[in-house]
Amino acid sequence: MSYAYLFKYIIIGDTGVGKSCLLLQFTDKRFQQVHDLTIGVEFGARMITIDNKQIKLQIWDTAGQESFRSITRSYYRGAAGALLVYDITRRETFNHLTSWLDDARQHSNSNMTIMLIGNKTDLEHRRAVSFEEGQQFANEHGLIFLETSAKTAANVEEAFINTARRIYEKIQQGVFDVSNESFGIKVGMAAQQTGSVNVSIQGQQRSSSGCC
Amino acid sequence: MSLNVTGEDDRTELTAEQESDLAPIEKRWVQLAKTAGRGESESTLRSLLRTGVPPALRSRVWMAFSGAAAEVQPGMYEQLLAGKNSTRRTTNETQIELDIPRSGILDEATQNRLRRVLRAFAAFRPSCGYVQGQNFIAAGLLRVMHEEDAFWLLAIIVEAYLPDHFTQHMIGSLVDSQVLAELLAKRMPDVAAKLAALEVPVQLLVMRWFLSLWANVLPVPTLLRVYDLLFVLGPHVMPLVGLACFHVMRPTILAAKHADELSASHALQPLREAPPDQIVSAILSAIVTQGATQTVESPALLETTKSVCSETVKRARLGAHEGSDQKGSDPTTAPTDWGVAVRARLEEKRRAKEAALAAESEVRRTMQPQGLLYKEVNTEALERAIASARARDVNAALLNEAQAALDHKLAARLVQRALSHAMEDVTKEQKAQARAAKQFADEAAAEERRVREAMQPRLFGRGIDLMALERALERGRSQEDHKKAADEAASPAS
Repeated sequence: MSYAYLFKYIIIGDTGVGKSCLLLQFTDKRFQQVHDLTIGVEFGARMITIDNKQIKLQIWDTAGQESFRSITRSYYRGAAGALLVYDITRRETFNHLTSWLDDARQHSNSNMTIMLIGNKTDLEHRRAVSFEEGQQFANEHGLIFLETSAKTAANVEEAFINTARRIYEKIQQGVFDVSNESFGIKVGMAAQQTGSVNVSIQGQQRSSSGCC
Repeated sequence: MSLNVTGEDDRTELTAEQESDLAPIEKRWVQLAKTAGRGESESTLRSLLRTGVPPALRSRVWMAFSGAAAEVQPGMYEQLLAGKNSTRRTTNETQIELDIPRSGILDEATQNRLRRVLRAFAAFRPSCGYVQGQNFIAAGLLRVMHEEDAFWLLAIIVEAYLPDHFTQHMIGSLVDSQVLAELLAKRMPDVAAKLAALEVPVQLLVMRWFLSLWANVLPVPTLLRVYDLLFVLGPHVMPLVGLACFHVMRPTILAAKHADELSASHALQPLREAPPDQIVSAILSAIVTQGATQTVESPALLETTKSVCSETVKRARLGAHEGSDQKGSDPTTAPTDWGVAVRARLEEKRRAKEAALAAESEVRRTMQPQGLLYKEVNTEALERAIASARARDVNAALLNEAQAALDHKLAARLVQRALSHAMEDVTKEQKAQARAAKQFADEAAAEERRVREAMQPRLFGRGIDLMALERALERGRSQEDHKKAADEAASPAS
């Protein structure tokens, strides 16, 4: 199927917070109670529609254990969006957010859109991090924020789509040079046909004036 | 068959009575396990591996051949499990608890065994600790092994099969992925090109192959057969397992239109569906072609592999250094004494084997042109070859077996050629000639065997028994007429 744009995402966060389950829920609309842990990097894809345009999301799902960080770092670079996930029932996964964020900022392009996600809202009775704390962290660091449940699918669509919408807005504003694939964005056949040449020209001007 | 598969008794010596109850193939493997296959040629082991190690003997054979059996320190396992708590230990154990249910094992008893093996290993190698991937490997081993054996074999795997894979920057994993990528580009350029076109890095696909030693990739029956190969033949088989996997996945990869069709759940499907025999034979034929190619273009190929390796290591270390903001010493440069000793021993074993194989191939090369098959033994060449082989302490049995296999192949080729010519021309006379040729070849093979049997004991003792040699060769020469008939039958009909 042809798309107007392809956005590359990366999902990061501590091990066991539900990164792979979020991806599975988004791409296959199902939940696996017992999901094999992810070794290295996995990926999935799905088509969404924004502003009547077909947008393909290609999502890299990474291993969360500390030892894998030097491997997964190399996947930040080509990503337009990142989902930074913690588990609302395990405080330490929230405490590690700063280190994840440092890593992401250091190794990605500066315009990467980051969505903070507090996952496992279906386990409300075991909650260890309040919604307000998550919201505050997001505000302080300029992130979008949502709480989700990969199990019940609550807010899962929104998490992926709102991130895409933000990236799309940035394209409209000419923040990216979309002809440069290192931003994690690719222009598809559909976009070229509908004449989004403007966007790319705008983008080039921006980038030559030194936005990165 | 009186042996227990997940056996309590699979770690002790078999009694004579138990041993006599075994099927012949099982007896053979019991014997092989006793010597860890010393003196057996790789081709013999390969042909035995085509049918796999008998399930009841797997644990024994894996332990013996991998070198794990020699590393066992009695009492160590219990000691490690009883060790004192520490922060590091707690970190490891929290992670292990999180991963036990995500390791593909459902029954609680096995989960408990898995927990103990992983905890013991983390305590045994604190510089490395528990790293994801180990859980899948241990779970795979526990399908066959006693937990203490699984622990020691896991230790050997981490040390000798996957060195630097589970250390801080996973350099080993980068190197192995890169080497496999290079091999893929050489062996299956179409697959490599397709992956590049879809922007799917080879590393992305293969990292979990190595880090879980295929336990998270292949279904159990296939996994056990692949482990037979890996542990019996050695770590050098790993890239070939990778190539074999690509071989099975090839149609799927070539047919893919988008990168996402190659996510693990899709791309690995052919591996899950392929019969174990298909994968085993793909690996074995990869070994054969690999070996064959190496004798032809070995310097170039080896140099490439070596330079890729060192370049990748350099890059990886550099990258690791740049990205290193963690405190503490780099465990990749500080392996424990145990690890060093094991690696040295395994390296020594590997070298000895290489020397033996080199000597063997030299003997073949020298003897073949004036081959015994043609009844004109070049005694000088033979003696030279044998002297050089003896100098390298080549096991007589190994040499003999390799030679027999080679000559058998030559004889068979002669027969086949004669027969195929006979098929082309249907005159009775030519058929008769072909039969004569076949008979000659059979007799030649038999005669040759007699020659060798007569010569063998003495060749490798003090010197050649020239009388026996002469007698044997005399018998061979008397069949000169048959040879002519065979040559005529073998030459293409004009």
